[in-house]
Amino acid sequence: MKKLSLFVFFINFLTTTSYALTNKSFYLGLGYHSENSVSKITQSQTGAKSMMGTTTTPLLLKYDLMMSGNYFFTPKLAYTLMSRNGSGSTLKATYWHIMLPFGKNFTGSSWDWAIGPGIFNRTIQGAGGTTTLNNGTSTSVFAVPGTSTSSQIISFNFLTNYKIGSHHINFDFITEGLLSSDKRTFDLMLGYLFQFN
Amino acid sequence: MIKIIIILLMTQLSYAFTLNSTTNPNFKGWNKSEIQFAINSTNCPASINITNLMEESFKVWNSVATSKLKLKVVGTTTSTTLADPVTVYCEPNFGSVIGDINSIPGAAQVSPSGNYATAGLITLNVSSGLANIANYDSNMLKITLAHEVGHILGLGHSHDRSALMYFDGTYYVNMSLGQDDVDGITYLYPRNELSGDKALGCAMIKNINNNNRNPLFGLIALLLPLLIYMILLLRSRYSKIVLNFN
Repeated sequence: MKKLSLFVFFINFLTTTSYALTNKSFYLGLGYHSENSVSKITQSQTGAKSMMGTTTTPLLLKYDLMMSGNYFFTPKLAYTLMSRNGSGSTLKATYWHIMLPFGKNFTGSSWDWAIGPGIFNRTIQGAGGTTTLNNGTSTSVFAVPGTSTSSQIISFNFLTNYKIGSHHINFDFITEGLLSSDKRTFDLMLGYLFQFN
Repeated sequence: MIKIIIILLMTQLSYAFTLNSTTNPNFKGWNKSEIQFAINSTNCPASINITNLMEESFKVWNSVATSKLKLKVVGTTTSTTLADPVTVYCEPNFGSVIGDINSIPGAAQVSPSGNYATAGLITLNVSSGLANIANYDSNMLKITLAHEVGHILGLGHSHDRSALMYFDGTYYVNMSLGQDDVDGITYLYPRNELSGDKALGCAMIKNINNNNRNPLFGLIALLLPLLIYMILLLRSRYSKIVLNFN
């Protein structure tokens, strides 16, 4: 009986008819972003690839604009307030990612979906100077990067969002290099957004 | 206790990828996105196909979405010196040319001019020592070559144990990049799809032509979903008007 009650509650939870995308709504929140996910890079000394990649916690901003019927233009910005230090503090890695998706509310539920392109800008800034590192049989001096470079990638994004009152939980599937079999890379992002109006 | 804290702080401060230069923090690798290699297999063991191994080792570096880099083998050479295309050759006198014949299977050198590399050389150990490349299986050789290619690209060693550019590959059994390697190659060869590099990674593998890049392609790719959406929207509205007339 208890299980049945939970099941009914869950079904009711999923089928609430408060639509997630709302015209002229502004959202602010935080994300948990895993870059280079789905067996792209290693985080182990053996070189074994991992499901999850490098994580950052970007600030999220979003706006919904109704275009026609139940279709919306929902631009979203992810911005790293705190830099991800590449394995330490001689390197600062930051990014901003503007997503420009179009989406729709699922009929009769609090879920929405959206797909669309985005611009992913990453900046890597080195501290400069030199460092001494092991060179196999002895040590060597290596220069530490001293300038800043940026890369801009056009991403293609698949987003979904669930609304509970003014609170929104969203999951983003971000692709980079989508048309290249070698460079194709997937990112995952789980986010929380608060709806202001 | 204070000593431990100081050691921890000092260790933390030096962590990141480094450059294949002893003095120049502004070193930027090669001033081009396609880097070519030529193989001199004269003294290489007959059982080892160096060209195939090099091409396998390129895969990890060619796979970074945020980098415009492309590596390829362009043919054979008789050179044993620094060159562009980068020379890859097997050296029987590895001890006198490079050093320890029992622990170093290969070594990479680049010749810089200003902030850029202009020539490169990968020397493989085929001496009588324990680190002769014939004593390694093909997987370990691929990993070793990928590490040496990283040096040719302009990267030094990394403190990060999960990085391909970590100095000790004893435990490394899967050829892959760590985030530190990805950061390094993105730093040296950043991909910019808004000003010339092809959008969505398109046509990177078979067709790079730096003289024929068109920044409009990226803009069109970005606006294509909007265009499709507007067409569908107009069609939808038009069909509603027709229905209203009826």
